[in-house]
Amino acid sequence: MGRTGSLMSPWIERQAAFIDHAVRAMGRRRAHQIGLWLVYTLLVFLLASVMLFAHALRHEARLLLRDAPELVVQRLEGGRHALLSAAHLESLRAIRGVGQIVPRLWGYYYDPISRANYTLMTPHDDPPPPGRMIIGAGIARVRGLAVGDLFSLKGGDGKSHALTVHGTFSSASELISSDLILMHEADLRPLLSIPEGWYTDLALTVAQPREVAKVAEKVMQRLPEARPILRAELLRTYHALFDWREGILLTLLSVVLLAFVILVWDKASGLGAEERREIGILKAIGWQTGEVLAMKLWEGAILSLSAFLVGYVLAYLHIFVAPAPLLEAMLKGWAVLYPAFVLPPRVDGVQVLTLFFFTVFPFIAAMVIPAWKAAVTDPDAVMR
Amino acid sequence: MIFQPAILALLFADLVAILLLSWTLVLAYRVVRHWDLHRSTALQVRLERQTVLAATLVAFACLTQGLSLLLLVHTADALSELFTGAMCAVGTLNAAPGGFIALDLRIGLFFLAASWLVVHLLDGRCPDYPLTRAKFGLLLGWLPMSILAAWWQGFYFLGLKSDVITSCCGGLFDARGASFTAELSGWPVRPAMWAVGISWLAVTAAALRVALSGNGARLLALLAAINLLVMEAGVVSFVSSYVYEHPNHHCPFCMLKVDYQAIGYGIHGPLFLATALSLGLGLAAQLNPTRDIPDPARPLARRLAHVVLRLSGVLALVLVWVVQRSHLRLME
Amino acid sequence: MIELEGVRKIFNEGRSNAFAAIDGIDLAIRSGAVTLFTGPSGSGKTTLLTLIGCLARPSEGRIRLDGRPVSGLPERFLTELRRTTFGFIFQRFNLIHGLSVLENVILPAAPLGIPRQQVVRSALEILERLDLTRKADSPVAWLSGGEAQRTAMARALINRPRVLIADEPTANLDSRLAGEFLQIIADLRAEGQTVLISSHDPLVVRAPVVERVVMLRDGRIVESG
Repeated sequence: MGRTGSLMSPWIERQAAFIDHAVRAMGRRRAHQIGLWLVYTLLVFLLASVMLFAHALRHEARLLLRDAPELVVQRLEGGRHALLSAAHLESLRAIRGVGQIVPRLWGYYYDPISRANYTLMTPHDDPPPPGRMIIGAGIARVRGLAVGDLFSLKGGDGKSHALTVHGTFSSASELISSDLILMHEADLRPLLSIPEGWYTDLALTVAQPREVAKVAEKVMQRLPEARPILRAELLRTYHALFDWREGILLTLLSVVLLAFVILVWDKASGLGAEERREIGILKAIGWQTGEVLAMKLWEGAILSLSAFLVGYVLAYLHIFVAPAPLLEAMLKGWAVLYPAFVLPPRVDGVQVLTLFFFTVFPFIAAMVIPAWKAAVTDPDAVMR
Repeated sequence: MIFQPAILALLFADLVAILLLSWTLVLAYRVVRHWDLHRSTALQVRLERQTVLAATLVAFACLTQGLSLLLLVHTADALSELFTGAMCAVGTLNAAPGGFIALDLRIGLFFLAASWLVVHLLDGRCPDYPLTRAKFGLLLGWLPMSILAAWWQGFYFLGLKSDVITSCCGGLFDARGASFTAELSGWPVRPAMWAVGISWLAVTAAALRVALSGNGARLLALLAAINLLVMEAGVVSFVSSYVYEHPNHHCPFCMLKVDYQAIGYGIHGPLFLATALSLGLGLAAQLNPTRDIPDPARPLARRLAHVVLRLSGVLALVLVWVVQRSHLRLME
Repeated sequence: MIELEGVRKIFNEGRSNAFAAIDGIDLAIRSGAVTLFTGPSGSGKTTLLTLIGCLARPSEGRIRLDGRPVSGLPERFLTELRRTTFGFIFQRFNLIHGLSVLENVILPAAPLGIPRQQVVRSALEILERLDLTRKADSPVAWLSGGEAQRTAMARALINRPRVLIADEPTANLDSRLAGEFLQIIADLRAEGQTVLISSHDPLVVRAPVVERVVMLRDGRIVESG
C-alpha cells in the first residue's frame, strides 16, 4: 500500500487544494452563480420528476398485472365489445392447456353528478352481499360517501338502485381502484342490463406460460368472433404508453436543456475582469494551464453535482411525498377521477445514470472550452 | 423506435462525444503536421496549450465511452421485459438487427478510449513528449470509429419495436447448437478451467514484470488481449454454470441481473479495466520509437502495472468465490 | 548559477510590427547574491526577468539553470521547474481580493500536492518572520501598502524558492516602506537567498545590499558591474 499511498495522496492533496480554491472563488462570485444554479436545479427537478414518476407508474402497472389472468377472451360484434354467453364458455373448455375459465362481470356506469365514468364489477371470489357495495376512494371523495351511506345508481331498466356502502379501498391501490365499485351479481346485472347467463368477458388461466400464444390461437379457431388479450401484451402496452409519454416529455425538456447549455457556455465564456485577473495571477505564481482548467472544472462539478443532488431530492419529494401535483395529469390521465395517491418510492441505477447523462454531462461539456480559454492566459501577462 | 429515456441519453451522449472529438480533430491534424518541440515559436507554444484542451476533451469523451457501455448493457437488460421471449440483454440485442454489432463497437471503443488515456498519461510524464504526434494521429482514426459506433447504435435503436418476438440466451448459448457461441458453451469444463488458469497466470506474470522493471509492456498487452478472449470463453463455458447453479445455462448476460448479485459486473469490471490498462501500456511502448515505455514515464507505467495486478487479484477472488459458493459441482 | 547565452525575445514574431525586447544577452548570475537590473522603462528589464524566471521562453538562445538547459522545455515542465525554483514579487503585488492573507500565501503550493497542514504551518512561520501573524486571517483588501508588499513576499517564499525575483518592488512604496523592504532583502541575502530585482528607483540602485548592477538599454546590456 505504501506505493499507492505515495501515488495517491499528492494527487488527492492537489485536487483538495483546487476544490478548496474553487469553493472560495465561487463564494466570492455568489451573485454571478446563483441564477445559473437555480435554473440548473429546476431543470434536474423537472427531468427527475418525469423519470421517477414514469418509472414508478411502470412498476405499479407491473405489480397490478402480476395477478391478472394470462389470457382474457372478449367477443366482438360489429367490431365492438359484446357479451359472451355460457355456450361460448363451454366451447372453450375443450382447448388443451386451458386450466380454469372464469366468467367476469363488469362494465362502465356514467354518473351525471360527478360527470365521471365508474367501473362496476362483480368479483368472482368473495363479492359483497346483495344490496351492498365497496367503492373506490375517488368516488368516496367526490360524492362524500362513508361506510353505511346509501348511494343510488340509475339502472339500465330505468329504475333507481340504492346500495349501501360496505367499505372503501385502501389508498395504496388507488391508481386503478379509484373509480371502481364492487357489488353482487344480483345488483350488477339489472344496473348494466346484462341478462342472466351472459358475461362481459372470460378470464383463462393457462398452466404453461409458454403455451399462452398457442391457446390464444386455438381460441380464435373455435370462436372466430373472439378477441384474446394476453397479459404480456397488456404489460407491453402499458410500458410503451408510459415510455412514450415520458419520451415526449423528455424530448420537450431536451429543448430546454439545449437552451440551458447555451446559457452555460455563454456564462462560462463571459469572464469578469476580476476573474481574468485572478487566473492571470494563478498562472504567474506557478499554476499550469491544466491545473487552472482542473480548478474551473471543479467549480463546474460542484455547481452541477449540488444542483443535481438538490434537484433530484426535490423531485423525489415531489413524486413520492407530495402526490406529484405537477405531473399527474400529463403522465396518468386516462381516468376522470384523478387518483390522489402516493406512489411507493422506486429509484434505480439506470435512471440516475441516464439523468446524469442528460444534465451533468452537457453542463461539463459546455464548460470545458470556455474554461480552457481562460486557463491559457500567458503566465507573464501580469508582468506586462 | 422505442422512446426510452436511457436510449435518448445514449444517442445524446454519442452526439456530444462526436462533437467534442470533431473539435479536437482539427487540432490533432495541426499537431501531426506542425509539432516541433525544438522550436519555441508562438505556434508551438499555442499547440502545446491546445493539447491541454484536446486531452481534456478526449478524456471527457473517454469517460463518456465508459459510461455509455455501462448504460447500453444495463438498458438492454432492463428493456428485456418489453420483448416476448427476452429474459436478459441478449433478447433485447437480438430484437432488432445490429444490436450485437453496436455492443461490440461500444466495447472496442471503450478499449480504444481507455488505452488512449493511458498513452496520454504516460506521454505527459516526458519532457520531450515522445508520443504526442502518434497519440494525436490515433485520434484521426478514433473519430470515424465513434461515428460508426453511434450510427450502428442509432440504427439498432431505430429498428427496435416492442411487439417483436425475439430469441434469447437459451438459443444463443445452447451447448447443442451449431454456432460459435454454442461451441463455447459446449467447451468441456476441465480444459476450459486450465485455459483460464494459465491465461490468468501469464497475464499476471507479465504485469508483475512491468510493475518491477517497466519492461515488457507490449508482451503484457498481447497476453491481456488473449486473456480477454479466454476469460470470456471461460465465462460462457463454466463460470456461468456455477453462477446459475445450472449446468446448461451459459449466458454471460443474465449474471448482470440483481437476481445473481449482479456478479457479471464484478467479473467484467476488473477484467475490462485490467485489459484496458494493459493495452494502453502496450500501445505506449509500441508508439515510442524505442518500442518500450519512455524512461521518464516508467515510474507511472510501473504503478499502472501494479493496478493491473490488483485488478487481476480481484478478478481471481471473484471467480474463486463464484465457484466456491455455488451448489453446483461440475467436476467430481 | 544561471547562464544566458545569446538570448533574444521577439514579440509579434513574423509580423510587420515585430520587435526584439531582448536582443542578444550573454550573462552569468551567481547564486547567493543580490543582482539588480536597471535601465529606462522599455529597456527590457522586466522581459529579461520573465525569461530568467521561466515565465516565458526565449525566441532564440539558451538559458541554463545550474548547467541544465531550460529554454527548450515545454511549458508544462517549465512551469514545474519554475514554481519550485523561483518566487515572484510583482510590481502591483497581484494579491487575490476576497481571500485572506494566509489563503493568498498558500496559493502557489496548491499544485504541489503537499498536505495542507504542512503548507499552513510553513506559511505561518514565514508570516511570523515578516511580522504579519496578526493579519493572517484578514482579507487582503484591508491591508496597508507595506503589509500587502510583505504578503506578496510571503507568497513568493512559500515554496522555498532558490531564487527570489522582484519586479519594480518599491514602485508603490514610500521611502520608509522601501527601506523596510530592502532590510528584509538584506536578511534573506544573509541566509544565502539569491535575489534578482528590476528597478530604476535610486533608493534601490544605491542600496548597499545590491552586489551587482546590470544596466540595460534597448534590450541589450550596456553596463554590468
